[in-house]
Amino acid sequence: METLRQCIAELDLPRRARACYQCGACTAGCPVGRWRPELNPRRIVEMIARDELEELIRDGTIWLCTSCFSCLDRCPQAIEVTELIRGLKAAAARVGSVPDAEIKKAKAILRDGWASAAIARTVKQRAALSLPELTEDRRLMAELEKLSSTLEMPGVLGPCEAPGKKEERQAD
Amino acid sequence: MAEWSYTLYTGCLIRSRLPHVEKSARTALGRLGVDLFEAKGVGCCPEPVGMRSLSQEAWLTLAARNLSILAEDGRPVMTLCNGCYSTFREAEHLLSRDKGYRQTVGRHLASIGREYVSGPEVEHVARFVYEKIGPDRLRRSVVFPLTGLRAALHAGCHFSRPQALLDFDDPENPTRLEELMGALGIEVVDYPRKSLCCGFSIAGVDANLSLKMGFEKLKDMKASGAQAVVVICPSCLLQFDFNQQQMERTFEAKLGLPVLYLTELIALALGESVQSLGLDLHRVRAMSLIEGLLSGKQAEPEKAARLVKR
Repeated sequence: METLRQCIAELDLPRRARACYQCGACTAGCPVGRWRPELNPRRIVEMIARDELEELIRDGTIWLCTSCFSCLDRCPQAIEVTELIRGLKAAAARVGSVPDAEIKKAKAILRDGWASAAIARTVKQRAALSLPELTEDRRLMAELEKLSSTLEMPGVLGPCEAPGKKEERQAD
Repeated sequence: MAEWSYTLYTGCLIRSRLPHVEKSARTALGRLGVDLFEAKGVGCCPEPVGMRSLSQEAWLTLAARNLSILAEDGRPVMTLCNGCYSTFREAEHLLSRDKGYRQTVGRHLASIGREYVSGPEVEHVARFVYEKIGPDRLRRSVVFPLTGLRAALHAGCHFSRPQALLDFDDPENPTRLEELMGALGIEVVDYPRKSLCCGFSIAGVDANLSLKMGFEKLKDMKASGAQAVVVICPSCLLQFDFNQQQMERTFEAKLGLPVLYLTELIALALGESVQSLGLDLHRVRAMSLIEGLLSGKQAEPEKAARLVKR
């Protein structure tokens, strides 16, 4: 089992954030930060430089990021801010700090083949509009089952740290 | 013979929730000279926000699996969703430039008897219409101009961002798709903060915040005089259309803005009937607005004759 520190270290974040001069263009364009100032890309990059990430990861704020890429496109220093935040989400997921909704969606993709399964009403509507029938694809299902045994995805496939163990983990 | 051939990849939201979007895309593309072929054996793209965050390796593997299947018949791929388009373009980019990813993904694919092959050309329907058809040819194909409709465009994030990769239009102030709307006869309404995200992708993380983001955008569009919203992504459509009533309740304001997918408007302007497109499947009623626009309008005679011949 890995610690949060190890997960963060693997991301090589300080090097990827080094060019930041804290202009705040990322934050000015953030569609989430506009309503929730706690999601502040400029500050996230600053915290990366200061090595103060653990709290940010543990309180779940980073999952508010919609991955709209506005910060990445706006950065005059070509820092891939959205990618840094995604890296932090991945590290958070590996220590169990991940919203249930994301886990459910990923499980659905591996179980049903799709993030969103067709409901009975849609099946009828599709027929009424003369659209091709949706059939379960056996080849897709068989291949997903096989891939599920080799792919790793925290909380979805393989072991995931139980929420109650977080404090212990922090201490080791 | 059709001018273009594409494999249609509809993605999870359209196949499971939005048959009218699929219907309109098939209809509009057919009328524009595109033959569509069915995608067999593919699964979720997979979606580029949550799953990619949980495991880039798993996300990339499933995307590469889809791309390898789609590459089999050699046709380019037509997507109708910014998410699918983004996943395929990003995955192809990562796999083509990073040997490490190719090796890892290749190992996973080998376990199911597949291999990574350089992906097929992946197109987004809106981009296709702009680049391959173009506003001028679209204007010339219009039978029922949608004049009298004032609408605002929301292009959505993953259609043109990251700009360095997707390289289409100015993501901060997109105008190319508005040219297409103009070609259909629509009066385009500009509005503030046009480039901001609709908020759909975080609905499961923070429902209220997600609604707030969508609501504020719709409010901006309405205040600018829009009678309807035009989108090119099923996520944005679900957010603005399916969730609009909930937004009105939560923030105690009336919006009442019908939300239409670009190909619905193209199909209508090219002469398709309101009934055959399933426009009644929109949550915010779009029928009366559209029927009002089309009522009393005669198809332009020369074009109508061409239409009958078809």
